[in-house]
Amino acid sequence: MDQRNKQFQPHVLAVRTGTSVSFPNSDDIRHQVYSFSPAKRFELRLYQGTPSEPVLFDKPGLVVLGCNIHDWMLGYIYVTDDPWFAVSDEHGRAAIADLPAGRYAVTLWHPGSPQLLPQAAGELQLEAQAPSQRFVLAGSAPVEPPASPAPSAFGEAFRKAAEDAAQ
Amino acid sequence: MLRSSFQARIAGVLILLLLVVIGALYVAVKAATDAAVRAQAQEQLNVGSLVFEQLLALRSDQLQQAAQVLAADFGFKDAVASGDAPTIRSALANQGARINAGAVFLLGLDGSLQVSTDPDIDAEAVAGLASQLQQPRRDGPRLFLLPIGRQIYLLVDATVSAPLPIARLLMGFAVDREFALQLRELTHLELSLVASGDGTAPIWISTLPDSAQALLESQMEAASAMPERLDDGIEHYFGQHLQLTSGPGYRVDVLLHKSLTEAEAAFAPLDRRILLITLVAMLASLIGALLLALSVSRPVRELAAAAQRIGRGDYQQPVALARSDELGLLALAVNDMQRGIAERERQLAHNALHDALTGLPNRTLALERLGSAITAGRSTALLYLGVGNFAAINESCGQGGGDLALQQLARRLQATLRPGDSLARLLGDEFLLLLEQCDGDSAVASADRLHQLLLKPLRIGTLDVALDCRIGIAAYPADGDTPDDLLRRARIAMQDAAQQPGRLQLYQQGRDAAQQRQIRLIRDLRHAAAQGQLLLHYQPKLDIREGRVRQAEALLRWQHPQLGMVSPGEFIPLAERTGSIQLLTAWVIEEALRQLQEWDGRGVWVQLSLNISTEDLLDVGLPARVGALLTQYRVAPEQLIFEITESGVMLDPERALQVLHGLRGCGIGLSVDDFGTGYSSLAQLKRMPVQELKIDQSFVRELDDHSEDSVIVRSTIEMSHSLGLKVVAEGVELAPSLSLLQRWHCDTAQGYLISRPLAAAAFEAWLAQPYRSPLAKVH
Repeated sequence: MDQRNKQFQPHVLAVRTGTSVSFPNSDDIRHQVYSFSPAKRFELRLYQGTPSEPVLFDKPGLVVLGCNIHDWMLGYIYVTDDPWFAVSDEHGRAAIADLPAGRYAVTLWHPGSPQLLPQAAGELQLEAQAPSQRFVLAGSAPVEPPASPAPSAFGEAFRKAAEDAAQ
Repeated sequence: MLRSSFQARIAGVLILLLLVVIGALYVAVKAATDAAVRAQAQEQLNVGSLVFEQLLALRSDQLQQAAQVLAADFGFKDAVASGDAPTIRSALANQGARINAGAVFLLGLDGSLQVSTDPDIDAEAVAGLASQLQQPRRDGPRLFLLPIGRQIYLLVDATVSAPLPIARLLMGFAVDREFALQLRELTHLELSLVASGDGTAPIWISTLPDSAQALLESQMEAASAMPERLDDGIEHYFGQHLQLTSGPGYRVDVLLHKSLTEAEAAFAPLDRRILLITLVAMLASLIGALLLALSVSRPVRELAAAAQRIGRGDYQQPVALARSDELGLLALAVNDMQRGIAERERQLAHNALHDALTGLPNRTLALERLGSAITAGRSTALLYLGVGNFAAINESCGQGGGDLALQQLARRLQATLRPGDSLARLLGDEFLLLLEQCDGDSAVASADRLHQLLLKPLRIGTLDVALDCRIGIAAYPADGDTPDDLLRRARIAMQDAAQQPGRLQLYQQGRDAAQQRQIRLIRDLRHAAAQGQLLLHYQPKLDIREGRVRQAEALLRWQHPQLGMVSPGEFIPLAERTGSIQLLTAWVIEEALRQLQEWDGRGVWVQLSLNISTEDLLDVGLPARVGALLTQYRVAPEQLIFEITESGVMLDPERALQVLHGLRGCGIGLSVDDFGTGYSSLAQLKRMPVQELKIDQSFVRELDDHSEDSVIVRSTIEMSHSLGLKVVAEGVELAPSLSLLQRWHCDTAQGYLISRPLAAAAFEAWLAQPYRSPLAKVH
């Protein structure tokens, strides 16, 4: 789970239970990533570059990520026991490769889901050929990815002063 | 009295004016200060309101920032995320203590209370406030003013994000009086926070004094709106009302009050100064009025005193008032007036006691001198001088000539005066000389000398005028002892002197009484007829040839209530002189006619003779009046004979003849009375329509065969008969006279021999008797 431009990248990450996720910091500033989610409480002290230890997500559930020094940074790690899962692109398309034919229950999750809970989306009967299936996520609202706050007048003045000092 | 009222009036007017001015000034100042106080209070309220809002915003900003800082604290977030209530509570208490927030509590995202540091804020209270805490967020710091329990809380909230919202943090404090007092310090306004909810008593937090607060509470409760003014008897306030928040079932208001007393107190010195100015001005105007009034009233008093002096008749002392103003002018005028009055009074006094024409003392002064002579007991003679022909002098010389004559006479008289004597002009042509130390005899001598002196004619213009002076003399003490009596008696003597050849008469004792009686008779005669004092007596007239009586002469009698029977010889001349004879004649005619009517009614036929005066003969209306009376009493005109005198006809023959012809035309008989005594001419007699002559009794009374009277009587009878006239002889008292008359063929006789005049009833009775002719005795 990268941090780039003071945003989590990707915004949503799905992993299977028991997966360790590393939190490399691609910014030239430090971050302090934390989560108070029941699925995984952790805190990575201010760091730069890639911390030494990846974080192990050993319980299924949603883990909300934040940065203690950048309140607007928000990311989600969806930890699941399900064998197959995928994260959609910005058009809502997700592809699962090599899915054997068979009958599956489909669950959908979105940051805009009510109470941030996964939604049952019905069943999928998969034949030999690879089909494309459309599922509708009910009740979810489009969620704008959090953006960094507009610089305040004070911030501007401060930044300008800092720049002047650097020169 | 004048002074005080005048002063009081001036002072009153001045003070009244002053009061009006000061009153107007005070009202204007009061209105201006009131307006200023109000405007100032309003301004302070407006400013105070803004300050209050700003303070509240500032305070809530601070709270908000503190809350946000707390909510953003990682440790705090950690503690909240841990869900460990004791930890969270301690964290909340810690943070609350840092920013002096008494109440801090945490709500779950579903609005349920998680943790609270204030025991008053429990789950139940929060559940009750759920809806109020869910209000949509406004711009700026979010501020809750909420009544919780019996307190008002000022709260702000902040969201705890990790990084998604996990809880709501609310922190604040219970607003107490101390907070209100702090706000008062900053705003200089009294502050009342009122939280009212449905069904609960409003919560009050106020900096107002208790009494004012209680009053305000009761007024708010009664009117459910805040009054603009509040007056608790100690101070009064000007108020403004702001609604801070409201929600379902509750509202929080703030009432701001500015004490006007304070602002008004600033103007109190101005009021005091105005009062001081008023008092000083009133005192000054009082003194001014007093001085002004004094400066006017003192000279006015002097003038009043001078007027009183003048009123008392003191003209000597002038008013000493040297002033150049109107009062000075008045003083000069008063002095002029004083001189003028004194001069005129002298003139009046002189005029009152002196005669304007001759400059001699007048009657008043003469009486006064006489009075003083009597008082001193000096014997004094009064010479009363009258000019008998003064009317004639006036006629011939004119009024001015008469005056000149009097002046010359006065000078002549004056020239004769001895020292101690005095001369006065009484009235008209009458003068009085008072001769002191002089008895009646020497007075006669003086009067005689005077007479000689006055015989010399006066020269009036071109005329020589002889004066017919009469002098009457009365002397004190012989002829009276009062000035009035003496003067009256001297005048009587003067009147009597007119009858004397020497034109000189001493007063005769008793003349005065006789004249008094005359005056009384003249006065009473006018009313005698009306008061029934007159009556007619009837004297029979004997028809000599037939020897019977069918005629009578009606003779007027006057029964005076005090003087008894008054003789016609006394009152008839008086009546003729004073012009009341016509009244008497009218009464006589009417009474005679009434009597005739009465006798006619009883079958008694009488022919009555009535005496008609000279004045009646000149009254051309007489025939008509008599004719009317004849008709009224239904008496035949033949029963009336009017007796007239020759002298009556002589006065104005033409008019008298006209009247006589008128009477004759009525059928009334006419007789010439007192024939032989006048100077009538036979030619005149011939013109008169008379049927009868009445020979005067002076010829008849003592008639005998050979006297001159018998010749006159006999020839008169013969002449009359030859003229066709009947003849009556009156005054027949002796039987021989009657027989002579009978022999001479006189027609009628009248006299005591036949009968004296009788009253009506007696005459009627006399007629009824068989007549015994005195002739029978003769034969």
